[in-house]
Parts: sequence; C-alpha cells; structure tokens
Amino acid sequence: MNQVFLRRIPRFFIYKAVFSQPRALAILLLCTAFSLIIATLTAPLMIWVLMLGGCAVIVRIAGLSTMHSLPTSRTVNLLAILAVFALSWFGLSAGLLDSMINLLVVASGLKIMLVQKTRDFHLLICTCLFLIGCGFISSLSVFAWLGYTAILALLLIATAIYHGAGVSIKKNVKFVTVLIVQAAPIALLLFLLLPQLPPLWQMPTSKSTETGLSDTVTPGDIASLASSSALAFSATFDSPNDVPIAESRYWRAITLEHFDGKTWSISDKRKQAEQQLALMGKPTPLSVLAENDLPQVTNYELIVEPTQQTWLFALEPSSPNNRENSIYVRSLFDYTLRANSPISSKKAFYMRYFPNANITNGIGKFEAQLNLEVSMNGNTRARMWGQTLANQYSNAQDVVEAVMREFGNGGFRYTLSPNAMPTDPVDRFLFEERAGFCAHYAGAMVYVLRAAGVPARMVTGYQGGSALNENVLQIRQYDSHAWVEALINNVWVRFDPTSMAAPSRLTFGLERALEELGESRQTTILSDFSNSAFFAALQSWFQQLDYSWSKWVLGFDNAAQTNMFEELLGALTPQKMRFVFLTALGLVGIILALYFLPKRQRKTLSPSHSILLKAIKHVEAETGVQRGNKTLSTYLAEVLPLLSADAANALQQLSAQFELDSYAQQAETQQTQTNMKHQLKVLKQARKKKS
Amino acid sequence: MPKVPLLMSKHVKRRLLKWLDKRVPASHEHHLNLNSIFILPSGFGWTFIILSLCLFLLGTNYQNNLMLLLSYLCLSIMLLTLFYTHQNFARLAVKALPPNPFHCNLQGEMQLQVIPHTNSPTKSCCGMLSIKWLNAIRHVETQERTRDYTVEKSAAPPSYTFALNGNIDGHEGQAQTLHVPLNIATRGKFTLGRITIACDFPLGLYKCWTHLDFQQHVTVYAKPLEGPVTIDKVASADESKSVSQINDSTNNDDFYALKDYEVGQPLNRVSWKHVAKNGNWVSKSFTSLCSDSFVLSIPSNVDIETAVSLLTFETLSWSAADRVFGIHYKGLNIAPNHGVEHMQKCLTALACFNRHTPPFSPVDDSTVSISKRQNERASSV
Amino acid sequence: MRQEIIRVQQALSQKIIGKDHQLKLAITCLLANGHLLIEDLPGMGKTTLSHALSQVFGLQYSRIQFTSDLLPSDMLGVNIFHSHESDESKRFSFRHGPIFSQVVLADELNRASPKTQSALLEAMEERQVSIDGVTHALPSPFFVIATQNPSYQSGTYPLPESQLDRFFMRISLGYPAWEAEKTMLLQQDASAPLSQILNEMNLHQMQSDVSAVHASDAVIHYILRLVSESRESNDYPNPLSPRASRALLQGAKAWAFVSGKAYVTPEDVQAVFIAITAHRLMLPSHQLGQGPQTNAFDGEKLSQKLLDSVDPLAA
Repeated sequence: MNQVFLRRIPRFFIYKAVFSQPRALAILLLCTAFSLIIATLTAPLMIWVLMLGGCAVIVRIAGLSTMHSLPTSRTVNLLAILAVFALSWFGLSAGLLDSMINLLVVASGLKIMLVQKTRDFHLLICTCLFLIGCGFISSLSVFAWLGYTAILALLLIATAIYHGAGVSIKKNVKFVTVLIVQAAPIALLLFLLLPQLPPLWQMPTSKSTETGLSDTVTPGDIASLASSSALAFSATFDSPNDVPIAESRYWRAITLEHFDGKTWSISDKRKQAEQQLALMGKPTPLSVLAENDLPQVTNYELIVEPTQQTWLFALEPSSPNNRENSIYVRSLFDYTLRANSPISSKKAFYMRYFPNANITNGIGKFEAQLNLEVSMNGNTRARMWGQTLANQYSNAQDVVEAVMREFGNGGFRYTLSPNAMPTDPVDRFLFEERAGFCAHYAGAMVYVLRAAGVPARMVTGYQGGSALNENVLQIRQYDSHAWVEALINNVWVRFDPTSMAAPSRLTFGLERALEELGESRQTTILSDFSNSAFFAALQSWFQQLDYSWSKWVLGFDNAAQTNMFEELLGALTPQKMRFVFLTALGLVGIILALYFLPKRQRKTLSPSHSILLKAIKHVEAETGVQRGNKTLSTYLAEVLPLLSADAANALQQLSAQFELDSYAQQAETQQTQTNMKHQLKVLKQARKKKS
Repeated sequence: MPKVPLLMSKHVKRRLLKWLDKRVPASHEHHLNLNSIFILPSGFGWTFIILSLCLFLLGTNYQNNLMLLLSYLCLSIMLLTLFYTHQNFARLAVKALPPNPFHCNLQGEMQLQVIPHTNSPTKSCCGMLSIKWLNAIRHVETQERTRDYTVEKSAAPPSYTFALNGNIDGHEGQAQTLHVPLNIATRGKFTLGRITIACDFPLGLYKCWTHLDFQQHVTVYAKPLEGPVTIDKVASADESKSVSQINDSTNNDDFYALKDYEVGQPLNRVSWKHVAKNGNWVSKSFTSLCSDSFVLSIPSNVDIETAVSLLTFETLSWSAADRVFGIHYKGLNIAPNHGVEHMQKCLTALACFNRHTPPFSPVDDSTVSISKRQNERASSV
Repeated sequence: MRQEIIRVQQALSQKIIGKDHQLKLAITCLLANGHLLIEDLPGMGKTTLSHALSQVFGLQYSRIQFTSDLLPSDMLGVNIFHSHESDESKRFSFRHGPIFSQVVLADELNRASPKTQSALLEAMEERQVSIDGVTHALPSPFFVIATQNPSYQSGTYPLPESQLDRFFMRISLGYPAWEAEKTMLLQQDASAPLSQILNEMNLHQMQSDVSAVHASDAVIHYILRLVSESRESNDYPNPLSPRASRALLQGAKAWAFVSGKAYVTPEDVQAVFIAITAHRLMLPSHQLGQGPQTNAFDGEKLSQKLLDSVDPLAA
C-alpha cells in the first residue's frame, strides 16, 4: 500500500520529506561533506576510487527516498573484497600515504551505503574528519583552510541534526557556527602556546605531489617547469637594502656533475664521497664559512612550498641558520643544502648569505677530476671544439671567455620550444639548431669546457624572482634555471651562458625575455584579463594574503614560537615556560567562563538600591533578624528597637531616601547618593562600636 | 553464570545506591544541578579525542600547521561540547506523577513530567532522553518473596528513548509527560527505585546522566485468573431491613432494562405484561441493586497465589458490572460495597495479602451461603 | 484634599467603630472607582457602612434587598406603557429601577438567582443598562457595595469565580473589639445621619488625583512579580488575571492617596493586596466542597502566602 502510494507522489515531495526527518537529513549532509572532501582529494585518489565514492554517495542519496532500496550488506561486502584486491594491486605503485588515503575513502564510501546504526554514523564522521586532515597534506592555502573548515562545520551540523531530535535546522546551524567561532580562540591559543614538536618519525610522502626541480636534467625538462607559475618559495629579507640585485639572484639548488651524453645527473661518486666525508666528521666549507665572522652577512628567511624532496635552494653561497630552523639543514661539500626530512608542508628556513664569499673547491683534487670526465658517447664535434680551444688558450679563464663569446656572437637564439634533439644533443645544439633554453646552453658549455680541460659542472636552481613588496621576493617555478660553474684558480666561478643569448632573462625575468623574443610562456584567454588593472590588483592582493598566511600561519614553527615568547618574556627559563603553560590553561579557563558562566542579570541596581541592600545586610548581621520578603517599613518596625540610636536614625534616613529615590517621581541626585553613603558609613561605625 | 562476580556487582551496586542516596536525595521533583549530573565522553567522544590526537601526530610529523590547527580545533570543540552538554542537561527538571497501580502481568508506567527548571525558566532541555531503571524496586514493603525479584533483576533493563519537544522557542507549550514503562513481576506494594536519565544532546560527544529517586510508591495488583470462586449471599446486619429492601427493590429503584429471563431469577422481576402479550419471558432489571450483596471466597486449601489471582479476576469482573460484593479469604475480609474505590481497595488488599497480614476487617458472621456457582461472570453481565 | 479625607475617615469611624483599616479600604475602593464586596455575617454593619459612605460623600443612595424571586427588571427598571395619557403621548416610558443611583447597596447578593446576579454584574462592569434595546447610562460615580452572607445556607447561589473577579475588593468587617463595642454601646445618637463632607465634584477630582499618583517602575515590577508568581507557582489554582493586576495598581494608588502620599510604595500594594486578591485567588467552591467561610479563609491564606513569597525590594 505504502509503496504504491509513494510511487505516485512526485519525487520532489519525497525529498521534501527527507528534510523533515532529522536522521535522513543528517546522512544527506554527511554525504555532501564526503563528496566535497573526495572532490578536493583528486590528486592522491585513484580514478576508480573517486568513482566508487561518487557512486556510493549517489546510491545513498537515492536510497534516502524510499523508492530505491539500498544495496544489501552482501553486495557491499563483495564490493569491499573487490576494492581490497584493487587497492593492493594499485597500492604498490601509489605509495604508502596515497594508498592509505585511498583505503580510507573506499572504506567510508562503502560504509556510507550501509549506514544504519549510530555507531556507523559516528565512524563516518570521524573518518571524514581524518580525511580533512589528509587534505591539508597537499592543500595549504587560506582558501583550503576556509573550505575545509566549512566542511568541518557541515559535518558538525550533520552530527547536531542527528542527535538533536526535534531541534530546528536553523537552530542547529546557529549552534555549530557559534561552537566553531567559540572554539577558534581556544584552538588559536593552543596553537600559539603549546610547544611545537619536531617530527616524531619519518612519514611516507605522497609521490603525486612532488614538485619543483628534479635531480636529473635532460634538455626539455625545465621547459615544462617554465609553464608553471606556481610559487616555488618566497624570500624575506630584513630590509629593502639587503635584497640582492636582479642579476645576482641565483638560488642554487643542485650541482649536476655526471653526464651520460644525454642526461645530467648527480654524480654517484659525489654521493659516495659526501657520505664518507660526513662519516669522517669533516666540517663542510659552508659551516666553516659560517663560523668565520665575515663582515657582510645578510640574513633572510625562505618560505618553501612543499616539494616532498630534501634539497633546498639558497642564494650562493648561503649557510643555514640551524638554530632557528625547525628542520635541520645540512650543507654539502659542493655548497648545496639538504633538509633532514622531505619538505612536506610550507616551511620556513633561515639562511645567512655571504655575498662576497667564494665557492671554493671543497674536496681538493676529487672535484676537479670528477668534473673533467667527458662522456665519449657522441657529441664528437663539441669535443673537438673543446680541444681546439684548449690548444688555443693556455688559461682556463680565457677558454671560458671564448665559449661565452661564442654564445654571444654565434647567432644563438633563446627559445622555450626548441626542436627535439634526440641524438648528439650537444653537437646539434651548438652547430645546427643554435636555439634552446638554459639547460641547453649550460649543458653544452659544461661539455665543451670539460673537453677543453677546464673542470666545469652544471648547476640548477632558480634565477630571479619578483618583488611582492620591498622586502619580499617571490620565486615561481618558471624562474627555474641552469647555469655553469667552472673551476678557475681553485674557485668555482659562475658563468651563465644563457645571459649571452638573452640578457633580459637575468635582469627582467623569463616573461620579459620571452616577450622580447616574440614568444610567450603560455597563451590563454586569461592573459588578457591579467593585463587589466583590477585583475592585477586582485592578484597581488591574493599573493600578499598567501604570503602572510605562509609566513604567519604555515611558517609558525618552534623558532617562531620561541621568538614570540622571548619577545614577550625575555630569555626563556623553565620557570617561565611553566608560567606560559599555566597562563594557557588560565586563558582557556577564562574563555570558558566567558562563554558559560551564567550571564549576570543585566538589571543594574540603582545606586541607592544597592546602598540600601548593603545597609540591610549589615542590619541583618547585627540584629540577627532576617528581612526575608518583608517590606521596608515592616522590617524597620521590627529592627529599629534592636538598634542603637545612631544606627536606627541612619537606617531610617537611608530607607526614607531610598523610598524617595525608587518610588517618588524624583530623579536620583548625586547629593542623595553621597548622603546615603554617609548614612551607610554611620551604620557600619555603629556596628563596630557595638562589637 | 559464575556466582562471585554476581555477588560482587551486587555489592558494588548496593554501595553505589547508598552513595547516591546521600548525593542525590529522593524527591518528587528534581531540578538537575552540578551534584546530580554525571558526565563522561561517549564512545563517539573517545573516538573524537583519539582522532584529534591522530591529527596532532600527523600534523607534527608532517610539520603541517594546518593539521595541528584542525586537531586543536577538534579538541576545543570537544572541550566546549562538554560544557554545552552539561548546560543543556542541567536545564532538565522532572516531576513524577503518582504512578497508577497495574497488574503484575501487564506493563505499568511511571509518568514523568518535564517542568521548567528553576534556574533557567526560559530555556529548557532539548534532545533525546534515554531512560532506564537503575533498580526498579527500592525495597518491598510487604516482606514477601524476594526470589522472583532477584531473577527479574539479573536481566539488563531495557532503555527507553524520548524526544524532548523542548520549548526552545520560548513559547509556553504544555508540559511534556514521559511515560516510562515499568515491569514488576510480583504483586505487592513497592517503593520505586532509581531511574537513570541520560542525554547526549548537542553532538553526542558526551553522555550526561543522572540517577533519580522520585519517592514514588506503586501497588502492583495480582495477575487476574479466571476460575471457580464461592459466592455467598450476605444478609446485612439488620436482617429484616435487608429483606424488605429485597422485597421492595422493584418499587424503589429505577427501571433500567429488560433482559431475557433466566431460570433462578426472582419471579417478581418478571415482566408479566410481556409474558401475557407474546409469551416471551422477560425480566426487569434495575440500576441499583444495593440489596444484592455477595461475598466472594475461596476455600483455604487453595494455594495463596492462585486464590489471590482468582479473587483479583472476580473483583475486576464484578466491579465492571458495578455489583456489590465483598471478599473473604483466610485472614482477608472486606465488607461488601461497590464502586471504583471499593475495587481499588479490594485489589490493593489482594495485592498486599500474605499469610502474615492481620485480618483486614472483623469477620462478619451473618454470611449465609446461598449458591455456589461455577462462573458468576456469565450470569452477571 | 488631605484634610477632607481625614474628616471622612473620622466621620465614618464614628459610625463603624474600631474598623479603621476596613473603612480606609472602603474609601480606597470608592476612590479607585471599583465595586466593593462585603462578606460578613448579619448585623456587622454592612448596611451602616454603605449608608454612611453615601452620606459622607453626598451621593444618592439606594438599596436593593436581593431575594431568590427578584427579577432583573425589579432592579434595572421597566418600560411602562402610559395608557391613560392622551393619544399622542401614549407611549412607553422607562421607569428607572433602584440601580440608577450613585451608591447601590446590593444586600445579600448571593440570595438572588444567577440571572439577576449577572444582570447586576453586567451593569457594574459596563456602567450602563440596556433594556429593550435602549441603553441607559448609569449615574456617575457609580459604586456598588454588595454584601454576601458567608454562612452556608440553602437556597443561595454563591457567586461564581468569574463574577467575583468583577469586584474590585472584598472585605469583611468582623466582630468589633471589646473596647470598640463598648464605645458603640455607649453611643447615644447611633442613628443620627452623618453630615455631608464632600460633594460629587470633589469625588471626581479625587478620582482623577488618584490616577495621577506616581507609580514608579519598581512598584510596577513588584506588582508584576506578584502576579507572575501566582501564575508560575503551582500553589495557586486560580492565578491572578490582568484585571487583577490593574486593580492592584489602581488600589495601591488610591491607598497611597488616602494615606496622603504622592507616590506608591510596595507597602501600599501590600496594604490593599489581600482585599483585592483574596477573592480572586480562592479555590473554586466545588473543588473545596465546603462552605464559603472556609473558602474565604483559604483565599486570604493564599494571598498572604503570595505576599510572603515575593520580595518587594528585589531588583
């Protein structure tokens, strides 16, 4: 009967009925929250998991109207077994973290179809909360935070509706909003005051989210980076004067010393040597540099976007200021920097830049030898050119200058879209195409220099950076660059062959350089918009916001916390830390008291009223006669005989004045107030005298 | 079932009840306050806390401040909800209405009225209340057989949920009454014990509960049982008066209805006019038959429980017919009367009856046995 | 004005000796423009009081003795057809009943049939009488003093609660004290009429003065607290109506005026409280199942309890 009846009424009414059922509505909200979460987690999730989650939500929402029946538990169990097989199959390639997220999504997707008991609902809420946490691994912007907070609110509303039988939805929404608003200050307090711990153990990282430079360069790679305008890092200097000029903004990251004829990579020999030296406990040149008090030191702070990798970039040469870094940064013998753990979230690193220091030959002969290795795999013309140069010039410096001159005058062209050079890339670039980008130039130059007997290596990193404000430089992925270091007189000297072909690349950045060369990094409709003043202003505002968020929220670490405490309290002692801890507890207590102590009745007693009540309290204490609910005159009649003459007189006057004030049509004046205060004093004195 | 834990739990329970008696004294009306409310995180609450800690660990390990913030936010929400849950529950005030007596084979109910709390007259408690009996019976007043009682206790008491309609909008709805089912398997007079009221209102993260004693007494009537009873006709103390009443009852009482004549009914009730007209024997019946008073009795060799059940059944059926009757069984003597009050008196006396009860009323010697019928009910209705 | 009120009080106390509080209440009631219900045993001076009041205030006085066969028309008046007149003046004319006077003593009101009672009460409330579709205004001031015999007698129709509410105040005189009764017995000219002290104009003036007495928020809040206590607590089966709260304020103002004050204090409210609320608070007679005397007593007890449960000085 019922079924038939339900079939007849339009679907709209059924969904309307859902809204009147609190539990169904709660599940609907939960489904919404879940689908929002999986929509934000597209990067780590596999496509079939996404689809499974989406289908589960659809099935569940359809199941809310009684027209469709939900899948039986047997169906769901079968699905679960299938999903487990699929997960274990794909999980190997996905990595531990990603497969864990996938597993969670699959599990909650399956559970959503079956949610019946209160326990299921609670479990789902908790899983969704955990997934929100996972979402923060990759999304760290302000908007991600706001969005996830909204989803959290949605989950809480669902819970509130599930538990609050008969309470209107509006009330529940209001309650949750108030709850979150009230919880925010407490959370912030905890965030500011609870100690920031170092990572307790190494966590698996997500492969899908690795970004930035890679540790091998095959010409073609950097061009793909160049199409990305994502932020790589921002550098904050203490004062505008400290910001280096555009030409010297070389952010050094990796030295590539091994070349197999096609691809540049970190030399295995180098890795071994580094390991051995570290075991021997030999100080790295950068640490030595940091210990020598050099006159010109610039301190700056890097806020690095998560790369899921360990290498860091810094102005050359810079040493890490590990006293403030929450992740320890090692310096290597080739003056590059490595963090102790992969950078999985936005992190602040503190650096010290020595503008006048040289990059010296770290490991003596080893480096020179390593960087003289010439791959015999093809590229014969380049090698021959190198040998010719070696014969022509006796001095390494002259050789390098000759190569640079050749790049400047040889008709080389800078382009981001060169032709493919699959075989003999160096030869083809140098002698046929004569068009390419930084990796081509750098690679060719190193190859030729090595052939000419000059130790040289390729260095990758970033070059340039746009100013967010006068103190802050922002470096984006398209600023990535490759250049050459040649060992001359036992000092690694930087040469940038790209600058010979496209000088504006150094001074004005990639975009300007491309513009001059008649190319653009990307062609989108948006670029038109980006030219408009409003859009530009908006963009810069967002950049500013993002920077502040990174600096103050994401970059808030142990060092920042310690700084904050030190600024507030001076040098930190255990005693002060205890004080801080107690203050935190006290503040939380005060906040709670503010929220929950019964609101004092806002009936402000008139002064005369309060004076009279005080007086009555005195009289009660003195005579032992409680007023109870008697009127003033009745009480006076009872009490006056028991009081001394002074006190009785005072009390009478008090009550007469009170009566005038409260009941007669007469505004209270300062005069009567002082009068009454005086009488109260008399009353107190009389009592004292008696005692 | 192992005996020792049972004894232990019994001991613990007794201690708990003793402690509760001091902390939350019995009263007809309870306005919940700090003293009477207990609060602990629910299963969901613990899961939530563990989740927050997991997020904290994750955030620390990934050095992810947003995860840390989320974890702190969850913890703060947990903390605030503690107060919200308590605040909500502390607005509950409940008054017990005197429970109606019921038969031990049926389910009785305790009526609790939700009233405005003295401390928050404008806002009231919201959410679902789950109510169960901590110990349905405090102690048995008639010191009768405690064996059934213990058997009944061993099973976990079911819990009942009630959605509070809460005058959250401030409009004065009429007071909500919660009907809490009550099962007592033995007859007798009982003082009701503590009732556990729990609520997890805003988010279900905490469970707030209280154990309340409403100081209520309930009479549990015996289970009615159909069967043979002895019915004695009573001659009142004043013999002649009763006779005259019987004689002129037709004159005094109001005519009520015509019924088919049954053999044995007095001839003066026969409506002779009808007989003369169509030959159908019809007897006149009258609304008030004060004169016909009977005493129901059971031979004393019948087992007490059976006898009490039989008499209970007869009391119900005779009262339904609004007839005058009394009860006599062993030491129990109730003078003939009629009406609802009389019925309640009889049922209560039967419920509390045991061998040791002193005689309910002096034995009336003037009972004259007139008839012994198998089933009085068939003829009286 | 103050002197006149004192003179009125003195004059009345010559007639009713030793009942100053009740006299003051009666004057208060008159000044507050309300109707008075006197509940007392016979011979306590109910009639004397009402007569004296009308004399002192110089008001036109009439008395209706209520009996069970008294018809509404006996009280209100009838339209009479003038048949003996000449043709053109043959018409109905209204003959005013005894209710058309300024002070009406409705003696033994509970003896009258409910129909008559309600006719009187309607006239009291609306201060006008409608007969055969014609509305006749009652004189102003219009002051009804009804007396009720509290002893439980057969053939009486006790006033229902809804109609008791129409009486502004209920007082009972009670037996006089020893000394007072002695004075009364020794009095020579017991039946001598009192001289008129005030006139109609004075009374109107006073009534408007009463309305002008200042009642501060504190007092009004006190009244509200009293009233809401009666509604919220379960102890009062008949909570006070808004009509009662208005009566309380008006009564307190009049009392303050009679006491010679320009503003109302909680004491004034308390002074009139029992007289104004006792008959409104008392249990419905059918619930009590006993005579009206218990009833009255009960109402007073409830009133006192209500007074005791509210703090006049609370904020």
